[in-house]
Amino acid sequence: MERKLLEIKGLKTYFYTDEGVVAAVDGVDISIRAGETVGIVGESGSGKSVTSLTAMRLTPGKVVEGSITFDGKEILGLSEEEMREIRGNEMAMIFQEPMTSLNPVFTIGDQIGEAVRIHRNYSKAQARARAVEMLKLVGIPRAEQIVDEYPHRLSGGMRQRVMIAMAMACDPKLLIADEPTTALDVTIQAQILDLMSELKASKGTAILLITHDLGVVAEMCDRVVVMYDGRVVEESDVVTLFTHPRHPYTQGLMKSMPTLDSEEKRLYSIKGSVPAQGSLRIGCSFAPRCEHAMAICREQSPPLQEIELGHFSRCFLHASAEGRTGHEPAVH
Amino acid sequence: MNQPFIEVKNLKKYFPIKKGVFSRTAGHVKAVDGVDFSIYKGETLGLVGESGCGKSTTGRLLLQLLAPTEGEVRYEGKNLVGMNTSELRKMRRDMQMVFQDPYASLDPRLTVGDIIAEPLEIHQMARGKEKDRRIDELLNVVGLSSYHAKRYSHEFSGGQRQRIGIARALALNPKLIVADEPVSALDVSIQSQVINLMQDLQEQFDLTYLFIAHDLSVVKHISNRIGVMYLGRIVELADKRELFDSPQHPYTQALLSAVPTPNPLAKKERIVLRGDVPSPANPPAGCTFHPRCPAVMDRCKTVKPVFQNRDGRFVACHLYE
Repeated sequence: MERKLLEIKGLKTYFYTDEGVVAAVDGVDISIRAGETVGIVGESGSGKSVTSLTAMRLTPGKVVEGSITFDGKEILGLSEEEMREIRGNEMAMIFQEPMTSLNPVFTIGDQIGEAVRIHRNYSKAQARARAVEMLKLVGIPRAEQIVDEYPHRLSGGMRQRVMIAMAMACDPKLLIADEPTTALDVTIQAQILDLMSELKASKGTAILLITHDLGVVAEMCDRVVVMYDGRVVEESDVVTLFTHPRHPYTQGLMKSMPTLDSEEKRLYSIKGSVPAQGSLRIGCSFAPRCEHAMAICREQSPPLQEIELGHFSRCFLHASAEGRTGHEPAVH
Repeated sequence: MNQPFIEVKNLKKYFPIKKGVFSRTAGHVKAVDGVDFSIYKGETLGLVGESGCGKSTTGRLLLQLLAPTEGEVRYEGKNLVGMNTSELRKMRRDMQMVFQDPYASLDPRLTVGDIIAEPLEIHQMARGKEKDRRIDELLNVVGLSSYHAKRYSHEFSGGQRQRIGIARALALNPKLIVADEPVSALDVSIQSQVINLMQDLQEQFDLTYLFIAHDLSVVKHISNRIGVMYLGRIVELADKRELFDSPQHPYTQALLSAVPTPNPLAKKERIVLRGDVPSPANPPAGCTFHPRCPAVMDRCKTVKPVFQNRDGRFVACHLYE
């Protein structure tokens, strides 16, 4: 097994607001090996974005507990200056909104070249050449002209390509992509996903992909982490997760999705709604919506258990049945 | 099939592009450029397409929330285009809309009860006790409780707000509901609740839906027939099963193949289209899809394909002429 590139252990990121403490991330463990694509899936408020922002040390929240090691180095204790050495260089990020994450007053070339000028001391001319090279790599036509243009001249899909070019300019070891295709149309999404797969294959970049789209996860990821209310509820390789999901939340999520192949008249739906931020957690936070909730679920928080090799789930159902016997809810 | 409930003929909407100090019209954005379709009583017609293809504009034109540049919208045989305001207001009782953004489409200064009562007051359908009873009933129908009427919309989650929006749309006992991306702002687990609710209501109140969305799996789930739009025109319209089993138009084929499938074992051929959707202000000549089409022929660059009926399925493509 390859060495771990990024290892998040027992991470707790809290937000201190006027209304009280919000435990956005409440004890999360995620690791990524070199060259691997790991997906974090979850609904709004599940803490998936905060987890990734904390890994980049970009969160406004406070890290209360836990450790994050990148390439063997603990990054939570690093000074802002040391962190800047890593950020944008060995670890880069692309954001959801390609429309707002580019600076409108700098040319595209300036913005892509900024990373190599800072981290590699490239001259202006070298940085521009690198920018053109990156634009070609991400499939932007007329790269020599586009490099001197401003972001407003580009469409959403093109801007997301520019974002990827920016993130990849220093050949990072890890790319964190927070909903990279959510704002894009399906045909453009297909282009961007293809591009990311190609880059991953040619450069060996590890990707942490944050998304709510299970289809994107199935196509892109090697391993998947499912988050609910600030915690990891299930983790496994992608095939196992889609063929044998074990946590009732993951199972519900899979069933509530209309698919192109299914002919079901009615969709399964998880009752209730996502718990409000900052609500007090007693017991399993999915228990109020769970079909299998038992008395214990409302009193204690279940541990994340390895139910099969490499397959983790946080549910008391596994404890009572030794993991293996079927607790598959009836199919609707 | 019987008489169409709604019949749309050659519907067009051009938005002028204003330039300069004198706001001279420098050109037009052809948001909807000649659309024909029918909706039958009790069915759900899905309208899919990417951003800027004109699907939302089509929905608004149908309800006359926008005045069409050209064309007809016939509701039970009566042409809505050119009707005066008071006639239209009467017609609108039968036709309501559910909007995409449940955060922006509800007035934050009104209680939920007031929001739902507003259409009742405007159309003088109910007052006093009768009105309160109706609000109660509507809240219950969409799965909320009577005591929610006193609350404000910010106290509700996205899914609950969309339920309020649906209750408001149902207040006047409409026959047709135009739903413009009603679930795209919602989380997956909430999305399925709202879809199920809409299907239940359709059965219960004999509603007809025009369901506009960009998510193909959602549209497939809820619709009977589906129209695929590209740059202001419908390129293909067919029964949903036929459309998904054997898409005819190259754009439909590419669109369907681009949807990521939630099955990591499925290996499929994806048709990746080159480039972006062209600007509707300056659409390509001939077939507007030709610069991106994998099956492009010489004719496509000059001649606009006709939207024609072939055994109940409509395709606008030179390949099938």
